[in-house]
This record gives sequence, C-alpha cells and structure tokens, in this order.
Amino acid sequence: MATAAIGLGVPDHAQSRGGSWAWVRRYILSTDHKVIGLNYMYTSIFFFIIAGLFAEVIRMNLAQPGSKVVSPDVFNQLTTIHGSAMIFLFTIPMLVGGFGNFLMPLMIGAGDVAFPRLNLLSYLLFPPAGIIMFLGFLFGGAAQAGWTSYPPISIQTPPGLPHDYGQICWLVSVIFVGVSSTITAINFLVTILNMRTRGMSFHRLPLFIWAMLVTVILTLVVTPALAGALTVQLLSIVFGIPFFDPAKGGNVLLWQHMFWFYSHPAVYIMILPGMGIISEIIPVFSRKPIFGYKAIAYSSAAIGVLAFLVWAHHMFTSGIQPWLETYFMFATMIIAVPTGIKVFSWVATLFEGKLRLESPLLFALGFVSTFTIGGITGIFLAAVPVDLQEHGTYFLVAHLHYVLFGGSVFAIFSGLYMWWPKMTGRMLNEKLSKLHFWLMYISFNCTFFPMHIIGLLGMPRRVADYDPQFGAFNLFISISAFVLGASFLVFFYNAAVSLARGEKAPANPWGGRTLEWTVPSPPGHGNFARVPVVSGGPYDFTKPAAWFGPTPTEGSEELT
Amino acid sequence: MSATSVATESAHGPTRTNTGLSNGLIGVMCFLTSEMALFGSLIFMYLYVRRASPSWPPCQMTVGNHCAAVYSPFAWQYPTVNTVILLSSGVTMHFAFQALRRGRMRAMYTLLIATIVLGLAFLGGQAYEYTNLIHNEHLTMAVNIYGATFYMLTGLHGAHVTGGIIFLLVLLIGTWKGRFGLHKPMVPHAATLYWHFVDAVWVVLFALFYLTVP
Repeated sequence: MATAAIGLGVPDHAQSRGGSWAWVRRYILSTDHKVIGLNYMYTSIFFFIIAGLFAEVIRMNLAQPGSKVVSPDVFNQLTTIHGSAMIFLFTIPMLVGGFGNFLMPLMIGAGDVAFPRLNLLSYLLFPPAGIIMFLGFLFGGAAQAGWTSYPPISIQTPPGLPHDYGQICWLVSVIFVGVSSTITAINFLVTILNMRTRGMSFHRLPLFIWAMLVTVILTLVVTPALAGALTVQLLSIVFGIPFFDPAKGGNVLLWQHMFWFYSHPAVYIMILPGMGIISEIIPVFSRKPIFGYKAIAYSSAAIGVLAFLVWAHHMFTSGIQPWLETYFMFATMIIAVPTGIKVFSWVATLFEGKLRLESPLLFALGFVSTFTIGGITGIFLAAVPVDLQEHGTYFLVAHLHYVLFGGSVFAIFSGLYMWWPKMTGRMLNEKLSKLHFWLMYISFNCTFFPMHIIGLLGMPRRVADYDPQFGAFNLFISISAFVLGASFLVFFYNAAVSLARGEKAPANPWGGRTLEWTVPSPPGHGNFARVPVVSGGPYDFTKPAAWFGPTPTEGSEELT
Repeated sequence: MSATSVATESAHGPTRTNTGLSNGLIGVMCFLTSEMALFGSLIFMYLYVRRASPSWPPCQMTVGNHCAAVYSPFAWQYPTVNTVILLSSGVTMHFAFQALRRGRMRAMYTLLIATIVLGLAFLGGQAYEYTNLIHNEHLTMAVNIYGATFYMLTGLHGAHVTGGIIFLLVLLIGTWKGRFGLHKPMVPHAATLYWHFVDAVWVVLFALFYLTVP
C-alpha cells in the first residue's frame, strides 16, 4: 500500500526495525485510527475504480441501440456489482470508515477511538468482503438481481449451475460488510459519547461529528436488521427454506420490507457524513460562523428519526396498501424539511461571506447544487402517482445518481481536497484540483441530467438494449460518462505528484478552527501532545486562532 | 465479537469518561442494541408472514375453500417448563452479580454455577422439543413458513443461549483465577446484561409462538 511511500508520520512504537513483517505491523495491523482510516480510504478507492470501470463498460454497451459489447447476462452482473460495490464497498466505508476514522477522534480531542483493536478488526473484515463480492465472476457469473436482490429473481438458480454462486457470494460479502460496519458503529458511538475532551460539550461538537453520531446510531440499529434479511435469503437459496415461496406460505414482499428497512436509512448513512463534511468546509472558506449551528445539528437528528419511517416508498410499484402509500408519501416529503434547513443554512453561511474559491469549496458548492436537484427529484418520486409512472425509468437512475454521486461523491472529494494536507502532510496542486472539479462537475451534469429527460420519455432502466429513438441521448450520455471517468485521472495524477514531491503542508493550511488543525500535518501517534481544552464553538472566526486552551507544541511526546 | 475483548480493551482507556460509565459498559449496551435489531427484523418477518397468511397456524389440508386440518403441533407444557427454567436462571444470575458486588464469593460461585446448569437445562428442553417436532409432527424448516420462522427464531435464540453459557464459563474460570471480580466488575456486569437480554428475548418468542397461537 502507498502508506509507506507517503512516509506517514505515525510513529508506532517498537517498530523501528526494518523487514516486511515490521512494515505489515506498522501499516496494515496498526491500531492507530489514522492509519486505519487511510487504509479504509485506499481500499475503498480501489473498489471505486473497479466499480467505475464497470460503469464505463455499461455506458459502452448503452452508447448505441442494439450494441453487443457484453451479453445481457453480463450486463446484469455489471449493473448489480457496480451498484453494490459503489454503495457497500466505496461510499459507506469511505465516509464512515475513512473520514470517520481519520477525523472523528481528532475533532473531539481524543487520542484514539474507544476500542482500537476492534477498530482494526472491522477494517480487516472489509477487504475480504469486497473480494468475495467479485468472486462470483469466477463461479459462473456474479449476482444478477440488482443491488436490491429482490426475490424471486435473486433466488432463482441460473441454468447449468447447482447453486447461484454469484448471489451467494454477494450475500456473504454484504454480511461481512455489515458486521464490519456494526463494529465500527459501536466503537464510534462509545467514542463520541464518552471520550470528548475537556470543554467539548455537545453544542461545541463540529457538525461533522453530529452527522457521524446520527450515522452510527442508524448503522447500529439497521445493519443487524439487514444481516437478518441476508441470512434469510441465504438460507432460502442454499437450503431451500420457503421464506419467499408463496406455495408454502412464504412471501416475496417480505424481502422488500426487510431490505428497505435497512437500505432506506443506508441512504442517510451515505449522505449524512457528506453533509457533515460540507458543513465543515463552507464556514472555513466563507470565513464566517456557520448559519444555524443548532438547526443543522438537530436536522441531522431529525433525518435520523425520519429515516426509519419511510422505507416503503421504494415499494409503491410493488403493491402495498393504498392507505400505507399515502402515509409513506407524506412521511417521505417531510424529510425535505430538515434537508432544506441544511441547504438554506449553507447558502446563508455563504451569503456575504469572504469566499475563497479553492477546490474544497468548489466541490462543496458542486455538492449543494447537484444534491439539491437530487432532493427535488426525490420529492417527485415520493409522490405516489408520479412514482407509479417513473419508478421503472431512467428518471429514477438520474435521481439516484444526483443524490449519491452529486451528493456523496462530491462530498467525498470535497473532503479529500480539504483534509489531504492533514492526512498526507503534502499540498495538492491547486490548478489541477480546479481542473478536476470543472471536468467532473460539467461531465457529471452532462451524464446524468439527460437521464431525467429520457426517463420522462419512457426509457426503462436496467435494460441492456433500448428503443432506437433514445440513441442520440444515450450516445451523448456515454461520451459524457467517459469524460467523467477521465476526470478522476486528473485527481490520481495530482495525488501521485503531491505524494512524490508535493509542497510540505503546514498544520493549518485553510485556517480552520476545529481541533484537527491544531496538530501537525500529519498528526503523530496519540494525536495531541497535551490534552486540548475547548472553550468555544468550532466555527468562531471572529476570535483569534488560539481560543482553545494551550496550543499543543509540535513534535512533543508528552502523552505518548 | 464477544464482549470479553471489549471489556479488556476498555481497561486501557482513559480513566475519566464524559458519561461516567466505562467505555466497555456502553459498548456492551450498544452491542445489545444491535442484537435487539437483529431479533427485531426476524420478529418482524414472523409477524408479517403471520399477518399475510389467511389462517395461523397455516392450514395443513384444504378441502375446497374449507380448512380440513389445522396445523397445530405445539404443545404448551414443555415450553412453559422451559420458560420457568430460563427465567429462574435470570434470577440466579442477578443475585450472582449482586453477591459479587458485595464480595460474597462463595454465594457468587454457587449462583453462577446454578445459572449455567439452568441454561444447559433450557437447551436440553429445547433439543427435546425439536426432536419431538421433527419426528412426531414432521415439522422442519423446509416444510412451510410456520416451521421456517419457528426454527429460525428459536434456533437463533438457542445459539445465543449457547453463546451465553460459554460466556458464563469464561466468567466462572476468569473469576476463579482472579482476573475479574470486585476490582474489575466490567465483565461480570456485561455477562449479567447479556443473560438478561437473552431471557427477555425468550419471553417475547414464547408469547409469539405459544401464547398468541390459538
């Protein structure tokens, strides 16, 4: 892994000897939350690249009607694994495992998480889980039923195979990921509740921590429920237990309820940390205290509560009781209120601020604009009559990508550009960063905005081939998708140059006021030389920098 | 992940915490919350298929539109005895922990061993009931959704009782060797909470499978 190349300043005691085993112990088996966070990032970016390449193959196949780049079976496998890998192996581990691990203890002034060895365990479960998901390709084809895996399609055995090995691999993989993220959730929840530094009351927590708090509570409650659902499907595939067999009293809708009870909150598990990142970046680059601190913090909590109450809005076309549809429609639309509170607060923070349009803020603005579009199409789809019309079309694909790509992925890159100096100790080339932003922002919109139009015109989703009238649109979408994919090359080039010979980063390159900017870049083992004492809020740009107690001296080893 | 390692790790944590409770204890509570969610999703499954079914227990044989034979293999006697056994083990566990806190080690060992024996008796009773159902009533997981949900939930609970007994044995040996005790009450406390949780789940399952089925 590239950690060694960075020369990350994490002195893990008693490992000064050379040798590969010492290297493994220092960079793979380290219990330091920063090393674990970076390992999560490397691993999930690796899966991001693979799942992104799958998306490019999908777009290659869809560029022209009637094209046969891949067979329909393989097309289904690619879409399934693209979605599953992006959600379970990239977005969630990147935001919670990556950013959460690296930033959370630093931001609350703790030396590490509550249970460092459990933290290592949850990381070590993650790479095998990812590999198992892709193993299906070696055993007669990966899972084909989409990332939602609805029975009866998901429990049918493909012709010529004794079992649907691809689906079994998928289920086992997601169970692993689930166990890993449940352990992380327990760890983070205990850390946030119990290990805040002196003076770090709940109303002085950075908003990213508020977002993480709600995220880990959601994870803790819904992920075991998903594990139950996955086990049930695994039993029905492997042993033929009739959970989903109507002839023996089973019920196929059962899976959809159990799955969406996890997967709707999972949408917030993917977006809340992103919102937290944006809430950190916007005040720093507007040089203004955030507008509505408590409103943003409590709206995260409100989203967390509502997340449990809306799952069946994914099932309007599956057939549920009409009175339930009405309830779920209203409950879903209510989510627009806390989400709107956040968006308006960010805009109010930007308003009349002294904006510095550097790459983190550019990505944050990209997030706010695209995520808002995704939120508005979400209101469309929450309305039962519209959903009945649009559920099976590209309109839904457009909505989903505006929320998860325009939302989560923009937030992830915003955060990467923000905390890259802190994580690696090196600065990125700002011109290349801006080039990445503009390429990504324009090609993202060119890729996914036309999907709204072809969806409204009636192009069905999850198809390998389509009516020739959509040919021109799809060609445009595919070309934009290739540009979108290429835009990440700019980032990887920028990152490689920065790691090799980037300018050394100061402790606080952006002028942030949260605790992670008070320690050197990268922070040493144990994080703080002295226990920091907090005496003010995290976005107080009106006061001089050293508002929090004694400034820790660089390189001091008092506590470690 | 067993709660044991949670507990040993917390020993190295900071001495002062924000809530005043130890990290390990909050960790165990979080773990039990996630366990509740796991059982909750499967109990939801049971209630959902039960509600969706035209009759519960499902009809074994229909003649026309009429149900000729109702499927009702569960006798209430064994499960009731088993419930009494498991609830008594909760009582002995409670007093075992109280004895430990008061430093009355002999009472603690006696009560802890009693808890383990009662737990084993419960597992024996459940094994007896499974054998009876499979051989005499021919009810297995694959037969119908009734069997599938019954074995899934009670089996998962049985696995938790088994895990709990192993945890109690670890606690017994560890206390004997002086690794836990008055000075380190975290692991005994965690074991007590876990055992009460397993008890409580059984009360719910007993109500769902035996008390509320006509």
